[in-house]
Amino acid sequence: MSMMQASQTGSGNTAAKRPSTANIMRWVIIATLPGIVTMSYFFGLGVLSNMLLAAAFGMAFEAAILRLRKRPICVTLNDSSALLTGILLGVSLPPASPWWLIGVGMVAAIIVAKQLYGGLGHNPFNPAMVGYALLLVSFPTYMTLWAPPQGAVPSDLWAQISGSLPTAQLDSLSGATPLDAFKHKSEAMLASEFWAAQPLPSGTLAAWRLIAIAWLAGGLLLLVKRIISWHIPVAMLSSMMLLATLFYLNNPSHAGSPLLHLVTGATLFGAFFIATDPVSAATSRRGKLIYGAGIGALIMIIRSVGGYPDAVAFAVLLMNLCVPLLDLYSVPRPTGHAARGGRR
Amino acid sequence: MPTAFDFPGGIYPPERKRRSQQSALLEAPLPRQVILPLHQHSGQPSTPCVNEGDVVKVGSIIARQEGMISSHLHASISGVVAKISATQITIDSDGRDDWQRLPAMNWQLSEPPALLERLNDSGIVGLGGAGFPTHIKARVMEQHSIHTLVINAAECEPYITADDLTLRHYAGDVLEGAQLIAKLCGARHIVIGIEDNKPEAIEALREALPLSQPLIVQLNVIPTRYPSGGERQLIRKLLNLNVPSGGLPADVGVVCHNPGTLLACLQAVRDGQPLISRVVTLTGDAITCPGNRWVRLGTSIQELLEQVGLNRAQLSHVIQGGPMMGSPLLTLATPVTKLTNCLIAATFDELPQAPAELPCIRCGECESVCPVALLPQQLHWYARAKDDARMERYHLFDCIECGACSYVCPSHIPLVDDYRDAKNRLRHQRIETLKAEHAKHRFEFRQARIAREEAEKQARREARQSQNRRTPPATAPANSGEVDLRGLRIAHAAAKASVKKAEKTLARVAQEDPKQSLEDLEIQLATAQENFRAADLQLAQARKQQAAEAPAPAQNKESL
Repeated sequence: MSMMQASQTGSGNTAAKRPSTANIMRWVIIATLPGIVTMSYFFGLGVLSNMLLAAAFGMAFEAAILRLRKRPICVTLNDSSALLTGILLGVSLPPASPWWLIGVGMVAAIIVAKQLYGGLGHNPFNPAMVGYALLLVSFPTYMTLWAPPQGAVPSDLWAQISGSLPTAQLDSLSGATPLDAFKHKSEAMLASEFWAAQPLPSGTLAAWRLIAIAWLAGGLLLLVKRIISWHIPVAMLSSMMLLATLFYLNNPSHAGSPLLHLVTGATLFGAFFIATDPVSAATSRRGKLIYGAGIGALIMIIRSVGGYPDAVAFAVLLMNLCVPLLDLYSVPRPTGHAARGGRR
Repeated sequence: MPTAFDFPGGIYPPERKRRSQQSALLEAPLPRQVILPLHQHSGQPSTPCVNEGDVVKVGSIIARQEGMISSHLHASISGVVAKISATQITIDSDGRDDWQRLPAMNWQLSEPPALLERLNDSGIVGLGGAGFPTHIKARVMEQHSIHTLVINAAECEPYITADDLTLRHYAGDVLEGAQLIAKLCGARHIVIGIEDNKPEAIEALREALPLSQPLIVQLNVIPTRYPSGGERQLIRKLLNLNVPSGGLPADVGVVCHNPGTLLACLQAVRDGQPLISRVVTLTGDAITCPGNRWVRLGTSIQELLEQVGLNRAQLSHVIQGGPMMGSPLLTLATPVTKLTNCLIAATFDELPQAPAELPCIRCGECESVCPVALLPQQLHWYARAKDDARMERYHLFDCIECGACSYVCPSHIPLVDDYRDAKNRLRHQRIETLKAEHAKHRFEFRQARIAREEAEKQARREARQSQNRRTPPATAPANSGEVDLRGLRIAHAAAKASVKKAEKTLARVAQEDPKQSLEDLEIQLATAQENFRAADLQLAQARKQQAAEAPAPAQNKESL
């Protein structure tokens, strides 16, 4: 066996140590900071409360299941993967979601999607996205209430989180993400008319653009630190932009522009933080390219033809399903094997 | 990004060669006692041919090769054989260092069979790590046409500088050794592959190159990247040839040797000096004066390390071989063998113990560094699931165990250990499934041996009879001699062919997978040899008989 490890003795003559698995998770958490800060700036403390609650639920559920499974608790919690899942689900939910909503989401993410399959490394589906998809189909009212950009401390923050806000008052908070609003514009309305009518509170689009740039910055950090490879984000964004352009050229009066699809919704967040989850993604380079391209294509198809305005979660989960097949058919040809004929 | 002339993957571990590179190549002090294991090479262990109490000189054969893939073992010091156990021979030194050399030979004037015999008599095996008997490797040209001899001086593992220092001091001799081997295997080109982190060795080679003849030697400096010293990787890099999976370099017309082996070959032929010492790199932070030494085989590793200032307080563990492919020593009371190229006395900070293993997160880092373009991570899952059929389908046996995947794994999974276990399990299974076949082969061997002994007895008996009577045996039918002779001649040729065939299979399998048990193939070869000997005897006898019968009519004619 190798007595040297890149994470222990460093690599090359610079002796820069490569991150271990726990450090990979920590780097991803660090890379989410620009996005979190920007989101909190526009949507207030509700973003942080989501994250903290989700992370706390995540660690608690993980510890509980590990105890039931009689596995070491501290070592496993120390790998920070449950923390990361909590953060990723937390930022996906509408700000200041009620605690029980987050709790249900984390049960699905940590207990069902991760631990029941055997824990870290064994989950075929992205845990955060399983939680998100479950909440989206089960509690659509809560999941589509995305308050417009507001002050740091929204007036009803505590009432919202504790879930004690009367249902009647929920509507007063309601807003929609730009994609959501655009999706549900009336058929007769042209895209140009929709935007001219200024359907969203002022500053909403600008806020989403800045948030997208912040996620992009975090993603670039991961690329520079070689925590993720370029294959999945590049393939996903390329295929998405290609389809978006085709849809747009086909029907410019009704389809959203490629830029709209790129900077709104969870596109960039998904490309760098969700689709790149190595556990549920394809492994070979060729497989990663197909996997990323598939996610990009599915997002655009669901957004244009399907019933959901965003669709990153569904696209990722659907492509997770294809991973075993991709892994099977993208096995590289080892050196010394003939190029043609025989099993590859 | 790999180019057309490159192998995929590869890593850049810290080189850590500087400490052992600085000092010159010295002789280690003569040990007071040596322990020589009987199994220092691939194939079957050798069999002792001395007795306890025998006086031996440096270079005396103390154990003979057993079977075809095996090697002779020589005394590395002069003295008295103190103990012979099932696995090793101990010699106590008399301190005189008396030598017993073989006669010197001129390789340019000698015939290849004589040179091959000399390599065998000198116990030369590959000193790069595999320990494959060199004379068998040099005989590849019997089955393949070889165009290029590659000198593998890449020495890509961290820490090791044995080949580097060998080349600095013996560049000319190494090249001459290469010319000798090139002559034996019929190569028309010689190419040296060396990594660019050995400027002094490269300089020494540049100076020696113009003097080397008859073949022109090409020096190819390659960028430093692990594992460029892998046989297949180097051949790909230097010659852009792909050794087929499960095949040998000889299949693409190439033979690879490491500089130490070539030097040993030359010394065996030119100086008549068998393989009794080798260059060992002694390094690691727990040693105060690191460097390379000529060490007599069988020297205790503990004594050797103490001579170069072993700091026991700081010592974490000693590694035999490089840090990537070597193995930690369980005890220092083991001897240096023909395969010991490097000893690393590491401190705790230098090579820390791997932290606890975490689950695989399928990050794919292992795949991007694999020099064979395997899917180490996929293999890992199948290895843990003991799904052996899948492992073979994912080309487990193409793995060269270089350790690049273990090196980069962020979860510290000992991937190569898993693969080795799986390979051993599969080898074992193969043997199990062929058990009946093997038993049949053993039975055939016994039958053949009995038949041969019978033939020998018969020959002796008839020799005695003919001596006593001085007349041909009267019982022989008058005209059966002719028919018999023809049949025997065919049988003799067939037996000879089957010996050749068995030798060929054995040499091939032994080189393809050095860790495979060769017992069954050796038995098949021995059977073929027994059959051949019996056929030989029968044929000789029949000829004698015919010769004895044939003159009789002639005499009659004369007397008429």
